[in-house]
Amino acid sequence: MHYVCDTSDRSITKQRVRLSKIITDSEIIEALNGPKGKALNQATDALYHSAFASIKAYILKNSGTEEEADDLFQDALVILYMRIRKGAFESKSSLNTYLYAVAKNLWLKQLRKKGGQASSLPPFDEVAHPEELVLQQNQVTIRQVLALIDKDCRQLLMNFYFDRMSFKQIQAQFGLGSEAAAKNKKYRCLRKVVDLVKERKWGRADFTND
Amino acid sequence: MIERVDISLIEKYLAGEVEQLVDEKGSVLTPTEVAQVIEEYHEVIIQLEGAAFKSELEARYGREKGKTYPLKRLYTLAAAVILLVIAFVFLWQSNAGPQFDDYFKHFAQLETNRGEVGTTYTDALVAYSRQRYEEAFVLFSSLESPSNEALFFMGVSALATNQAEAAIEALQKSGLEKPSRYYQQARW
Repeated sequence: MHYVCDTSDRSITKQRVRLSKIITDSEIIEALNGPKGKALNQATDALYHSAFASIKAYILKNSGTEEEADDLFQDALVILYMRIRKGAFESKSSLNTYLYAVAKNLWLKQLRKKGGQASSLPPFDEVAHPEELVLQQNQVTIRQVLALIDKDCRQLLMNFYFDRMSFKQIQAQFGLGSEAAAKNKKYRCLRKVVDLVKERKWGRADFTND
Repeated sequence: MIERVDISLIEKYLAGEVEQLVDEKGSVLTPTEVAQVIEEYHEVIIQLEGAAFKSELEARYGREKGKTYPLKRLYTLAAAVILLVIAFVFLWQSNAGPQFDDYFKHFAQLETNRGEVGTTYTDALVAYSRQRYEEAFVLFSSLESPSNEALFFMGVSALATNQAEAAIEALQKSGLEKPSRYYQQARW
């Protein structure tokens, strides 16, 4: 599958010319597995461009709002991202098809939780395995936990694991005395997260937590 | 399981710096327990990355009102702040109390004093005409029996030099007699 992605805007005489480039599924997967930056942004831009409209249409058609569609699409992207980061993403279909199936199942799960007309809802899509739903459930838990810990800890963990900052950068960012102090702070923050996660229901890949 | 093991120890184990994992009581974990701890550790890290990725997506594509991009939000915020500042300044100015400049106005004196060149009164009038109010006020004040006109100009000179009490006194005196030519201005 190929996606057209806007990569830059350049002004030539008074005309703005959009340059495009083709991004393939494998390039997107590579970018999602890489560090934060231009490539990752281009990958998400491409997925928004190619997959968002159909998912939004589905959500709106099934009693959802635009805000819910936005949120759900991002959740589906997060699941794709986590599957790729885990090295557990198997490309049996295109990324568009995968995202659509995941978003659809997430939405059906939400609707069932709301207690709506569950019996009239269509069945779960076969493309999305139960692991996606577990990942989503754990994602909800981790977000709750991150909201409970102090801001510095949250920021530090994000900087370390997502922005991939070194301990030296963390030391400078948080005004810590040494790299060892940065390391210790990271351990303490991660410990807090682990303890809070354990107090909650943490799903495992071999069962669902419905 | 992961809660029973030191996080730094897990990372050392993954980095190959230690060969076994022990729990908080010092017991060595079995291979099954080790596998479980490692799986849980990776799950936490992946979930943390996922949460950070979600924050990035929200910041980049927005969430609350469809596609609200950060830059657009910034422009909206800037426009709102500018509007608020303009509204505040407008309201503040319209509600502000009367200012000295709101009341002070130079009244041209049209008197000509032929043959009186060099007298205190003419000097005072010249100073007043040239809007040298401090000098004019001093000169008008030194007149022994100032006329209504002199009192009026003295009052205006006092007003121009922020001497409110002197201004009131001089203007009141100048306007006491209704027939005075400066009665209306003094009343004002």
